[in-house]
Amino acid sequence: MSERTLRLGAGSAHEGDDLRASAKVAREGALDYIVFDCTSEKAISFAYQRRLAGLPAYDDKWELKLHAVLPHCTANGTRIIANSGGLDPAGAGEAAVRVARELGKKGLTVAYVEGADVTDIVRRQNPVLLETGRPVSELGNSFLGALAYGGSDEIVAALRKGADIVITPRAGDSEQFLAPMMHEFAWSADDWDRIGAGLGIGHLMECAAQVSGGYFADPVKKPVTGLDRLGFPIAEVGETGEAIITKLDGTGGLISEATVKEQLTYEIGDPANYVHAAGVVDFTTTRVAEVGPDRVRVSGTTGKPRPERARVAIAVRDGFVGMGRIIYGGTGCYTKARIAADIVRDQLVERFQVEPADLRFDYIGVNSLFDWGVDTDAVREVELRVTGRFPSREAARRVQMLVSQLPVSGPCGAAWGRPMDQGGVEEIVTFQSVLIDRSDIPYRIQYLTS
Amino acid sequence: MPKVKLYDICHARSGDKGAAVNIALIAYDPADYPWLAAHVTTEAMLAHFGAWVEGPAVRYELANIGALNFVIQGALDGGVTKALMIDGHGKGHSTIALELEIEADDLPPSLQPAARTEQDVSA
Repeated sequence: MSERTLRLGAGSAHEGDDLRASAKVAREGALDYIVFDCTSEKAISFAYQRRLAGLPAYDDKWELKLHAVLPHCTANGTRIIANSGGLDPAGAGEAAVRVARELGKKGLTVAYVEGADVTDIVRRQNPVLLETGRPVSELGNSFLGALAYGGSDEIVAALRKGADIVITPRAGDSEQFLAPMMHEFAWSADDWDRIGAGLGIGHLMECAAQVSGGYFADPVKKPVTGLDRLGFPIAEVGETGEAIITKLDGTGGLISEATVKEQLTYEIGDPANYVHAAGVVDFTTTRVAEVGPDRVRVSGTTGKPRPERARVAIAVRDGFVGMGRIIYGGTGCYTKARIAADIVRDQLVERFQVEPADLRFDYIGVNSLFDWGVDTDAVREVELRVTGRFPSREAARRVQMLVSQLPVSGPCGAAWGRPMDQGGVEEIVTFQSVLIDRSDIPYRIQYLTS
Repeated sequence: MPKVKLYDICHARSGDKGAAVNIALIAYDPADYPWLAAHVTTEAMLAHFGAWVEGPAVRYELANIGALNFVIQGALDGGVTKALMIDGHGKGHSTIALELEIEADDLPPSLQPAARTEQDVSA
């Protein structure tokens, strides 16, 4: 480990994460930077829906996050990096200024990155979708927008200008951790082994509690205590790209070789070629070693050159999901749920001309996740969950409507709970991808002062 | 032939890659990794998941951390934003994989009688 150590803290793994844990690590972690991952396919999908509904389309919990950590960050000299901008980075930037002023924090520099929304450029270039091989133009009116996955370059540029808070529309989650390493250690953007190592550390950190015992705990084989007060991870990074992953004393959770190895494999494909906008990580060279309680050294990760072209997420309106739910109890409950399912299926198919292939019937408690070999005669309660894909909201509503008729008109012994137990309707926004030249993305960095 | 349940010798993590799922199996005892690599094939994994996935599957090796990573296509009903299946994030697939029982002539080192005796003595 080199002499100089950079302390990076995870602030959130997703838009709705535990702000008590964010505040704790910001207050006591002696952090140089705190990084908020606020995005995911689902989050961006919601952002498009919020925009369609005329609502702000940046992370809708962004102000809450800042309220939780900003006083500690200004006290400790910790800079904030977040991909909270979504479809409205300017809105997120203005919100940051507003919160800083409310908290009496004057003179902070807020940077936000614009230009990731390349909808017009993609419309003009009309590239083919990687998933289908068909041109974007064939999506017609269902093409909602195009958002580029950002790299680390713009974050590094904003840090060089002294920004205290850096907001991107959708920088890669690992790139958000890489950027402060590049800035502080003056790593060159084509020092691929260091870039790979930095992205690898980012990958371990970006899901916050998932490296400190969350999603790991198994009450039999891998017990973890204190999940109710789980500590978010801290990376102590050296100039060579080695790091210690750790957490604050007194917080719940666990950081061990096993938790780090699990998170290393999370959502990866080929471990020798884990592709990011800023570079490619090779995890087959990584070494993981416990060096103390809740302290794990990660070293040896290497890297390869970044992809030639930039990946862009194409948002597509893809209809609606309708859902209805009902619970049957007692002897024969599974058979009753099957009969109920047949009633709903027959009505949707015969009365409403729904294709059977667009419907799904799950029996929760028996085989909704997998066919575990449950003895269906032995179960005494089962939940029937009916879902379907529909072209319109009105058509999708019929699922819940028909399921809600079952307590009166179907088999005996139905329980159907509160309205929110019963299902509902969701609009679907899905994603496909295209490649465009990086130089075609008109990134601009804007600066505000609180 | 003895049967080995993966739950007894490894832990696992899974997640979504679009409509594909990735499932990593990680040996608790690094000494068991060669056994895992020899016995847990893509064919075994696809047969275990049966009609719940479309396939195909690819297996990657991470000998450095004693792990195998499986990427199975067509496992998440179109992916998290579109899926009707409950677990569109694929986070539960790790638990499904650990239910797999492998029939093999040899036991992994950590389950061999000698290893057990040593553990018992040291305990």
